[in-house]
Amino acid sequence: MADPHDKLRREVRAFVAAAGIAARNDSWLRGYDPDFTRELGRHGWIGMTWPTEYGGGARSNTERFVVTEELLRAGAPVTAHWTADRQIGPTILRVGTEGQRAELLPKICRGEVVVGLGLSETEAGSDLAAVRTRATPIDGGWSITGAKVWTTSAHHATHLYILARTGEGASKHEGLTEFLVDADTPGITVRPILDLVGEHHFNEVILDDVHVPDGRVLGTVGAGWKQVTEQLAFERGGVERYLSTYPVLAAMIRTVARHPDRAATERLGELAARLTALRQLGLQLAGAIDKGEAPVRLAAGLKLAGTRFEKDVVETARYVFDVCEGDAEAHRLLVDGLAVVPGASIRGGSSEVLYTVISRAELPR
Amino acid sequence: MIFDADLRPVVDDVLGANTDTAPGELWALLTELGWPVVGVAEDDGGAGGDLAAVAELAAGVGRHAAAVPLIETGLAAWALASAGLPITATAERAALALAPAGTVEARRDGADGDWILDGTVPRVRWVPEVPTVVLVVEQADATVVAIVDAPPSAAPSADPTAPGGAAGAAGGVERDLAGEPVGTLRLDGLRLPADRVAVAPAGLAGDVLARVAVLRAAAISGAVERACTLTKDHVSTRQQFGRPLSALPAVRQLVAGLAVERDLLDAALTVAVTRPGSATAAAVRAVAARTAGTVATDTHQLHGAIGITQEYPLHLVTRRLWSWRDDEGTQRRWERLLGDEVVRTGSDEPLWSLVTGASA
Repeated sequence: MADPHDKLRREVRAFVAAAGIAARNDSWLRGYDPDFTRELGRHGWIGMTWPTEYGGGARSNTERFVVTEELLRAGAPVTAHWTADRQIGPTILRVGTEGQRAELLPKICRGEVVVGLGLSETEAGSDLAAVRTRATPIDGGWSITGAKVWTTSAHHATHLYILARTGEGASKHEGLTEFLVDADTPGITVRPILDLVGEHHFNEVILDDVHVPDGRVLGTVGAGWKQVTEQLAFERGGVERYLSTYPVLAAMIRTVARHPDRAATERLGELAARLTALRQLGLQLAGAIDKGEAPVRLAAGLKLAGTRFEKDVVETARYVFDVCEGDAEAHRLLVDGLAVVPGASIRGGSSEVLYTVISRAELPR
Repeated sequence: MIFDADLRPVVDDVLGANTDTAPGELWALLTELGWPVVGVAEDDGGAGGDLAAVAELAAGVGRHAAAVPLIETGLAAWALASAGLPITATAERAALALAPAGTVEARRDGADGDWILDGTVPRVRWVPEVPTVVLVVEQADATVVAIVDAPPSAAPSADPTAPGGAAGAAGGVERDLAGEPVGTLRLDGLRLPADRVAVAPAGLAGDVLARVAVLRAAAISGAVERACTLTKDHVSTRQQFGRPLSALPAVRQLVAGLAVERDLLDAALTVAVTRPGSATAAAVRAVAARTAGTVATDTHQLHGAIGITQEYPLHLVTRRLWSWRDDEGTQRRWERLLGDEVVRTGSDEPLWSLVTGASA
């Protein structure tokens, strides 16, 4: 069957080739390049699926899937718009007001919005509903006080997405509300958290009596939990859950072609077979989203198996680059990959949480 | 996994209701339905139907542990039709023997004379229980397809010099772990008249191998599905410590892991059926072998002692998983085949085209 998106794929490839990218792993989280992002925006590759009246391309999620997989294949620096394009834009479309859509979506499409995701807190990681950051009503809006951690790109952010408690309910899942806060609002302090190799991607975000107008509430006050769970299907089900270490895989192919080795070839065959299955799951997810579904269980399965695959790519590369004499670039990517993989099965829902999500669907009580 | 939504319920009705039917009787029923020749064009004497339909039948064989050579007969008929030979020889059940290059010699006795076959094909499923073996010989520049009569079950070796007959397993029928016969096809100078042999393009041997791989993977997916269903039922009903096993976090995690493996195999099958080819076939076959092992191990673990009894039906599918996963090569062999394709050019293009279906 011919690839129905051949033309689009070729356009992205040509653009990527012309950009002369130095591939890196995890380029959707560690590749902040606002110029590159704005260039993608000019090509119409941000907010591709959104209605044209908001600057979008009115294209399918399957087409977006093709663009994102070509970008991660190249290890392209797409961090600046990734969160806004992947989940905040879709959330605004789903639950936002007409004013929010008209104001924010065109800016996201132009690559001018960088969103820091304020979900986790020191006492709320896997147990996300345990958030303590609190928003209390004030005249015309809310005052938010609390602290968020692991907020990627907060130091570059134009906007911060904040999940905060606005009330108490019978369960901790009630009384949560989503906000989109302008990053220059007084009372916000961003402190770097360096990762294990000393790079700055994460942050701690302190919110001290941050005044947020009513117009910055996303969706319904108190319905934050339901909204955020739907958002997670977008966060978990994308190509970045199995392609984060693709540059290492490509380097292995180069290496084995130069120095053939039977065992290395077999290991590459194994990885190729697994990647074929994972990518098909990803495509099915994109198709499900096109049909208006929020495939939470399928997304959990993809992330669980995908991040295991990313780790196995890097583990396999240790052997391959040894016996097949990987070059300096190959070894650089391996070291880079080793630093990436411990976080992959934690961010966006740890594997243990994903097992719970899947078992709930498989074994309903 | 649903390959063909219309066919699947019919498969479940027929195979599900006949698990205790005598093999001969079941075969007569399947023949009446035309299932052995689904996937062969009607013009060639088949029942028509695409690869998805054949895969649905193969998955049914796995799901219901049907002890009939439905998959193999269909493959044999397809190979014959592809080589331009009549498929009638497969009517009473047939096996498919694949002879990789260099393992079987096929030559003619004079320009228009008989064919003479020499060599051995080990581990041919359903030999010697089926009356016919379709032999596919890979050669450098051609594929030779031959119709070989197999000796009847448990009979002493036929006279290898008699026209059309080949020696089966000596001294009774060998059975594999699945309980299905698996025999060696010995061709000691076997003579075949010219009308039982055809010379087809070199690519046919690879096409047959790819089709075998996809259908074996489909059968494995059916057995995987059944093993998972049995397991979910068991852990939900079996009480220990005053509650069902499914209340235990460790049990729930294993069940979730099984579901992910099952979904991945189904995804790889979708690729192989919608984008048929040697690379997607090798990919799904490698995934199937891996999944078969994981699922057999974990479903037995979750069943406890009852799962390793003859009385409980889990072994019907797990024994097939252990056996089928090594047919036509173990996991590593398929991975090597795929690895060779992936490193072919030194760029990631072959991998990317396998994974996405995109042209280079």
